[in-house]
Amino acid sequence: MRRRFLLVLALSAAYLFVLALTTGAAAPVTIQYAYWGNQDEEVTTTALLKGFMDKNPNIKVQGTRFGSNTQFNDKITTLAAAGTLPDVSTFYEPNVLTWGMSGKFVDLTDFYKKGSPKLDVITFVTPDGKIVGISVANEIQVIWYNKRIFDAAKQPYPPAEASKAWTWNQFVDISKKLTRDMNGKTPNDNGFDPKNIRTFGAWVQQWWMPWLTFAVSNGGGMVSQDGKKLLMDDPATIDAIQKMGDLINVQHVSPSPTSQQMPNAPATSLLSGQVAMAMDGTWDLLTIGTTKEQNGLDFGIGVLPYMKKLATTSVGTPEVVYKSTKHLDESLTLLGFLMDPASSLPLLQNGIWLPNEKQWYTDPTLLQKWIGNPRHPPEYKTAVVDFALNYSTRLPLYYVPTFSKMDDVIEAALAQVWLGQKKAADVIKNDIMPKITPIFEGK
Amino acid sequence: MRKRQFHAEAREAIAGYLFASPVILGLLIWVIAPMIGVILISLTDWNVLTVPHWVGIRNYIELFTTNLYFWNTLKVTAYYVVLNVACTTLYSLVVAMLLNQKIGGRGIYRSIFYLPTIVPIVASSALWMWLYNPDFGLFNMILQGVGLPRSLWIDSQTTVVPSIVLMSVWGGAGNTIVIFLAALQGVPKELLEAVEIDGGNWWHRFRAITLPMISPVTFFNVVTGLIASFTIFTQSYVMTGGGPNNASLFYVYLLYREGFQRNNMGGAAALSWVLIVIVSLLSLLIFRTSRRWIYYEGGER
Repeated sequence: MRRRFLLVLALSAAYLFVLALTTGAAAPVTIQYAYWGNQDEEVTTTALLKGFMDKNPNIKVQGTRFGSNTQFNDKITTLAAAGTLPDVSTFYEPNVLTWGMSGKFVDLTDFYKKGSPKLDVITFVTPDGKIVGISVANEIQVIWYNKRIFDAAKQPYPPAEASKAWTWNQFVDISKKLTRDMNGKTPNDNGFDPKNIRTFGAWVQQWWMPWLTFAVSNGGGMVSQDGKKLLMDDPATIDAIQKMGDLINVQHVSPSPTSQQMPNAPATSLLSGQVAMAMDGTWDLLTIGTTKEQNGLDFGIGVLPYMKKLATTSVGTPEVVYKSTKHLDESLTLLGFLMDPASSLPLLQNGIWLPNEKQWYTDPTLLQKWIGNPRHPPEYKTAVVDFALNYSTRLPLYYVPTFSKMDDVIEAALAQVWLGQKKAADVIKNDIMPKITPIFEGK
Repeated sequence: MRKRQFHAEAREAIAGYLFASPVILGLLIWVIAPMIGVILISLTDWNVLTVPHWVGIRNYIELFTTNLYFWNTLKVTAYYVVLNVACTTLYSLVVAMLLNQKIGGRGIYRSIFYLPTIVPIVASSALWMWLYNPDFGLFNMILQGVGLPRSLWIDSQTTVVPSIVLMSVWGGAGNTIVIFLAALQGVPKELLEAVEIDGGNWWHRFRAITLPMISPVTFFNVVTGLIASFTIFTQSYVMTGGGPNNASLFYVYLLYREGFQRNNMGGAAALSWVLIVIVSLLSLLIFRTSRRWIYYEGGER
């Protein structure tokens, strides 16, 4: 009995071996694709990869989801340590340049030049000029607002065209008129109670994207666009950050620093009337659009107010190809497919992404493909599409390899400004500059 | 005859080791070997991406001299550890004594106090973030309702650690309570009765009998609590990101950030060895002093 069992086992093992050999010879090339995202995105990505394999029967793609982008970073780091990296993957934005500079990624400069022109603000460029990663999508900062709150306060809606954009002072002025405490008073009224605010006029969040945007708008920034000069202690940067702190602690029109941790925050807080305007990414169209469809949120989109010049900033999920790949051509074919806005049309149509190619912003036929649906309101063309194309500035994470190390210091210290404990000038000059200067200079 | 006996002993020893081998091998492969590996990594500049170079004790020197966060994280973590161990021990002892009373529905109360322990820490962190929200959170609504000033909770440098301790006590006391409860039930009734006959009140009973009788268990709880508190990570990972202004940048979170987010594996390995040394020294200190305050029934151990 036992012998027979062993015999069967041996035979089936031999059969499997032969099977593996024969199919292996005839099978298409298999490449590994890893990405971060939630479970909904897993469904979308799986469908996307299936579409790719239908078009390219000689390439088989195995897609693996690695959780959120920080979890992705943990796993990809472990895989790098084990020497088992995938062929193509999305990547954790703050680390694209450091990985690229240590030679883990394929130089995509030629790939970038060959295709139809992309938005250059979302390419990751090392100091020696190599493109090591490209964002698959473009997501900028805009103003979201609840029309009903504006109507009730008899205030004009935030302009949807860049040419009519509010100055910072106009923005603050209208935000004050929209803010209401528990007794219905505005910050302009006597007896206004800043500790008990029912509606905040303008919610501006405290992570790097908003403050970097206004620092640029004011003529400053974190690092100059050529990557050579630290601008953090530039008077324009200090002034912009202080103005944002004052929104919270002097004018009392923006909430204190945690509400951003609530899921779906802009959509739910606009709906409940906790905020009248929220500055946030265009990705919110997914949740805000759903809130409109399900709960009747009457929302609008406006361009950002400006300090000295019009500006917004872009981010987007990076895609990279690993140098360790054994199938470079197939990997680049997959990358080309992923980067093609036509492939990510469902994500463009549901509002979470903007395309990465210029022609999708300018060609009316292509434009109609992604914004010609009820999810995208009429003002989207000027407030988002044109604004993104004409006023996006490259963020330091796309060209400064030490961005995340400096940002560790900066975000921690700026908390004191957001909480109104210290002035921006004090924090930047005494807490931030002495620590980030050596990091920036690579000492 | 003698040889045979030896033979039997040897066989028994072999069998013994064989039976224990899963544990021994597990310890060697999963604990001892990685620990040695981590020492080796801590002596290199390994960043996962390039070939590591031997740098001697440079990573350790950097920790103590140029690292921007090291001394701060030690301070923050020590503050958390002391506050958390003290609060958890005190709270657990009080709750265990209450749960030891002969009252109706005792089983239900015991379950309620144990329940938070089985909630995954990530889930409870997300929940407490809502409770602590300064604008819309439940805690501030309650404070406001009874006319007290609102707090920034996890958003202020001064209240973030106590806020996390409050949450840790709620979520982590369950096991400590159970252990205390078992110890309290082991306190001999005749001794308590003897105090009563001598005219002692509850305080005398507690001070002279209960506290000494449960001191070995208190010792156990303090030591395990101390080690567990040093490894706090999830709360700063999920709730605060180490903020505000690094006020909750706990040691293991810094270790994770150095290793996995900034690719400084050498530095992270050095951090982990320093932590092992700190925890071992503290445990040793407690063990050394324990003779003075622990009573073991039936003599010294």
